[in-house]
Amino acid sequence: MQQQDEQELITQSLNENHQAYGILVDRYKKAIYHHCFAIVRDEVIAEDIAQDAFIAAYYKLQKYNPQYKFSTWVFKIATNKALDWLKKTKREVRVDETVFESVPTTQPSPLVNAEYSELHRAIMRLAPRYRAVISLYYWQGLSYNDIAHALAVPEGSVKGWMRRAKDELKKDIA
Amino acid sequence: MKDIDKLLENAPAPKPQRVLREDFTQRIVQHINDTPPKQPWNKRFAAFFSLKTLQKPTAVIAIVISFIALSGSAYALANWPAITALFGGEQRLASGNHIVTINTENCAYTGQQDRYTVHYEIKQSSPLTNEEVVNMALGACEQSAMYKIINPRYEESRRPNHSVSTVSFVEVVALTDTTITVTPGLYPGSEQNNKNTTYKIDPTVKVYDYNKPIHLENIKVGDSVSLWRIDSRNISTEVPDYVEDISTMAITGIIKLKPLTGDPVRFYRLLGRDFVRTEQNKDGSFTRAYDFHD
Repeated sequence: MQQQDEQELITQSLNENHQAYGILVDRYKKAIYHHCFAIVRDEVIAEDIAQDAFIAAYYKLQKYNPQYKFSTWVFKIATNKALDWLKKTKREVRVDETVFESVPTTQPSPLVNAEYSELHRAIMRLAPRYRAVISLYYWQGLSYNDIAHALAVPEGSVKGWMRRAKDELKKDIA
Repeated sequence: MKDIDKLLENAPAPKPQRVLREDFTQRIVQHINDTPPKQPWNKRFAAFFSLKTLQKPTAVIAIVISFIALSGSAYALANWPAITALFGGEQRLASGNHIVTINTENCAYTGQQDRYTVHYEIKQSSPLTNEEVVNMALGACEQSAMYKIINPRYEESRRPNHSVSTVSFVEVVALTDTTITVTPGLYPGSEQNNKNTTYKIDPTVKVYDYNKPIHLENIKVGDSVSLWRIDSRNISTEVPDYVEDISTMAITGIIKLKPLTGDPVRFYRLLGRDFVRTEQNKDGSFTRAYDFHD
């Protein structure tokens, strides 16, 4: 019910109404950009991947499954593109200390901020797919079911990855 | 040992320090505007309503809609229909919102061929007048109907090894035998710096009045048109470093359109925010087809 205005916009997009598609892009561009950034940790690359994901989503729109939210569909494409990019470039994600300066200053204390920074650094040391799961679940608010759809794996795998990711984080920042 | 669950739940997402480029959306719209999908829209539309994803009654509706959509191609070959959207009444709701009823005719947006009545629920806080809502809905009807004319012509402008792009809903400012100057397009990012643009006209240019072939001299200053452009540099618009150069663009197709009298741009901007479509129930009450997104 809640997403049906999106389906109307999608129908219009399929009808070559690019204005309608622009509205969908506007709704989710920030979330997709932030998610890509959480995986590749490079602002320029993250923006390029986000843009590429929206373009790819448009051309694949006929394959979109209306049972899921449009945003889940774009997260799926963006996640694959971000993971592919890391794989192709065999790039180790550089943990740039300055990035953690952007942790909001409204946090209760410098000590807590330091904990979050430590957590972010530890997350960046995780395997990319674990990083993607954490970003989608904790920061983008997707359910395990949606993440399973987005990553094209069974829900049990997502839960398993999350469990292993947390185990690694515990060891890393103990 | 730190509580990872609690830490993850409370930790903010790592945020990039750099904000997205201002023209992020415009670049995407520009790209898809310049590179339309190869599959005809009606097949895509039908695919969207894939039967496997729908329940039986919905599937029947989908078949009917697809049939209407497919007949739309044949419809596009007929003369331009009169498109109307007229105010059909207002009804106040207990919530303070109100319903505006619009009677449409030949409104491609609603997926109907002839007459169809649509109802929109307008938020109490919205400053929109009923006339504005009707005008916006009319714009959506007109725009959708025109795409049905424009899209089938796209293939005609294809050339081997030349990228084709389109500029739609522009107004002719000046015209000679060899050049055409038009206003910026309807879509943000579909024009050069929001200024008028002059293109060379290819000697083989095809010109239509809706769907009827006409001569170039039949195009007049002030006409609303859709243009097909090829890049004569023999390069693809899809290469990563593609930079459009107006001086190398040539117009290979012109379609004279009926000028928009409604406002589709505003319609899509406010849809879901200020108003939503509703369905009327048998008892006269209304059910939202979708909720407001704010």
